[in-house]
Amino acid sequence: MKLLVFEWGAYTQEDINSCFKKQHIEYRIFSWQFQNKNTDPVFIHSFSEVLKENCYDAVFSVNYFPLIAQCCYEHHIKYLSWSYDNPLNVQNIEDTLGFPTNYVFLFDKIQVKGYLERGFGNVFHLPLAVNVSRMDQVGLSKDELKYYQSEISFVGKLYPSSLADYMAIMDEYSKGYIDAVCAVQLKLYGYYLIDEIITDDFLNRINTYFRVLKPDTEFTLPKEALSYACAAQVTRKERLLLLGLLSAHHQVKLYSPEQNQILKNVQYMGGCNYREQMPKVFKASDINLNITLKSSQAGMPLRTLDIMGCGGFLLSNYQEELAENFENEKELVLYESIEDAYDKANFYLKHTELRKSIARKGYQKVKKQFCYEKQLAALFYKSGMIT
Amino acid sequence: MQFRVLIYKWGSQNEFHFRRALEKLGVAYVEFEEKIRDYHADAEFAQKLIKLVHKKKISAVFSYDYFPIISLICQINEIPYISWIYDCPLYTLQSETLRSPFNYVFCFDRKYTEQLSVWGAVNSIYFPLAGESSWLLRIKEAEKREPDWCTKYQCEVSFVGNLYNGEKNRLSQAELSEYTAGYVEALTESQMLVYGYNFLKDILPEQVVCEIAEKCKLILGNNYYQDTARMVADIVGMEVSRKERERVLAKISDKYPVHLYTSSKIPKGLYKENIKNKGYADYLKEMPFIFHNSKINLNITSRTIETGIPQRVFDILSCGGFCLTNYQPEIAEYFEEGEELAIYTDMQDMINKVEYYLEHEEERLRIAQRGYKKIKEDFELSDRVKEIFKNVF
Repeated sequence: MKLLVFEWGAYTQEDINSCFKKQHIEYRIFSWQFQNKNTDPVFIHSFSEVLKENCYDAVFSVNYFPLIAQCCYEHHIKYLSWSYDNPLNVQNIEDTLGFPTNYVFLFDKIQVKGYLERGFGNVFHLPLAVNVSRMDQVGLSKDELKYYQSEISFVGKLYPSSLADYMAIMDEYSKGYIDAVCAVQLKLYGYYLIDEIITDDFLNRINTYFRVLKPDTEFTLPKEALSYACAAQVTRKERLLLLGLLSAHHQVKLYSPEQNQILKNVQYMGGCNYREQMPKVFKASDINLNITLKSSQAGMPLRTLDIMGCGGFLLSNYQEELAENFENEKELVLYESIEDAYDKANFYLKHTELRKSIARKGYQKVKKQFCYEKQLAALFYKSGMIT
Repeated sequence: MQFRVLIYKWGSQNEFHFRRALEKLGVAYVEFEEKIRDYHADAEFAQKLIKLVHKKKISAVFSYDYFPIISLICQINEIPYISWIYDCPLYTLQSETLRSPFNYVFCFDRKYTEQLSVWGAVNSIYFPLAGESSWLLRIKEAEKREPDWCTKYQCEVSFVGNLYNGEKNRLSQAELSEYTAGYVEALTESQMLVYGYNFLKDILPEQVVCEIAEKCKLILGNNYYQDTARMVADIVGMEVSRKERERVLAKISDKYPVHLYTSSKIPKGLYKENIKNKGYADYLKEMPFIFHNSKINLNITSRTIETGIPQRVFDILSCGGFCLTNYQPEIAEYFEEGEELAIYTDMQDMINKVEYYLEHEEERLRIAQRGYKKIKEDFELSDRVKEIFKNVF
């Protein structure tokens, strides 16, 4: 097997490449940074030149790129796309998603179901993976232990949302409508209704009103953008609420790209990189929080596997696939409301042995079931690369 | 001294069967039918009731639902006041008289029962409603005597109930601000998607609560504990029910004929060829035959009933009818889906089940039979009434 691997700086790229090396899969790298994922003639030209060399069995990329899909289709070569993003952050994805050369692997089964129902038969479910042996080798010096040690840690964005910007162009009715949708979703665990409640009619109302405000505009607010903004806003609220609540009673360290002004009792630590620093955070913290972006309805975010793969104790919002793949309160702990999270944090901070046992068991499960060897084998099998 | 119960009659449809249950149990009773003009201070009513209590040496007073003035009188006379609640919300329960230690409030909804304790009820007992197995026997007799008369009740799908689009739905008549109108719209649409968790009272911001309370005049008065947020949630809940009932009926009638028995005005969305409005149905004279002769009887529980089983379900099953109902936690707790009745958890599920059960007659009839058996075994009114008295004495 010879692959053309598209690199753009994905967190998991090096781990995936390591796996290819271990499995003696030949690959060549093509690096690119898209400014616009849908329009890039220079890319199309350069990439096509490489494909014309005609010596690759498939193109592989972390996440999905419509222009790669297009080029692969035109050159009759398979495109293997394995995404850790949810949503996929690609505008008009359905323009290219249906190409018969595509094999698109997503980690959220509800997302997959959605595409299957819309007729995209080449979208498959594939949970993510972690490179446990690499993470095993990440150690902590005495100073690092002191630096990263915490009762509770959270690595993640705070999603400063664009919702406020969108709401500035809405009439009062629409504002009330959106506020209600977000308020409901914040309270609801295990059911995602934002996309159902933001109907085409409602979107028309917003866009019609915007044209009244700005008659010359050509801008139309698409549903995905509004949905995502709502989901991000709700996630932001949940993260702020929970971190606020926990930090009032416990030590909480926050690793986030955004400066935090709001959470007074949280220790803001800046960002942390995926390969070197993040594993240290997880290993040095008593409890590692995961609060999934709301639009990711069922899947196991990469973060959750990272935490467990490092031997960290995971306290996460309920996600269906986490509940399916791991035993709650034996291999990880799931919460179903802010109050529930608070109670569980208190409990597990007090019960150290139990907590360590859960972390150990979670680690073993991830090591066994969610390694790159296994997942990539499934990927190659489903895409007909191996039999 | 003989044990004698006073039944306060105010026109509840359940009173007829309750009386028969007492007769079956051999409990002596007296009926009192005086109208109440003021729930806390009707001197004439009080006098008449007290007189009767003394004259007949009443051991306990019973009513369906709750009347503060009866509670006061029972407290003064130190006899139990037994209420069996089957409405939710029931604002008289927010009376300060709820705290009386002589009140025994049997409530059909688990969540509401807990709330009553929070409001100060000393004896707040969770107690689901009941059915009457004799109904089916009487129906069969009547149908044997007059088989032609009952054919008018035959239909594919029937719904008996309020459409919540009348005067009582104060929300739909209020002129809300644009913001609140939008908020309520999204909130009701969201609640309709979710069964088993009523989040309305948790998600109303103060400005919306204040505006709705003011425009719908949601004040209870001096003798009541005012829980405005809850009242607003209930009124929004009624609006959810209105939408839900209309949508369910509209969806079914796209494909199947529906008999609709309601005294509500028919909304435009239900002006359809497949919907026959039969008007108001009398509880004792007509409903049993409707339930017995409809292939599918719909129950769409009012959204203000958070977890409990409405009387309608027990009535349908008591008449040997097949019941298709929305999911309610307590229905799923006591009845087996697909065995004793059918439960739907969303609109698609609902229409799938209508289609399936109209096609599968034998299975449908077997389910109705088992549902009837369940009433006989676990929800016979006379058994439940016996339990009530055991709880009190």
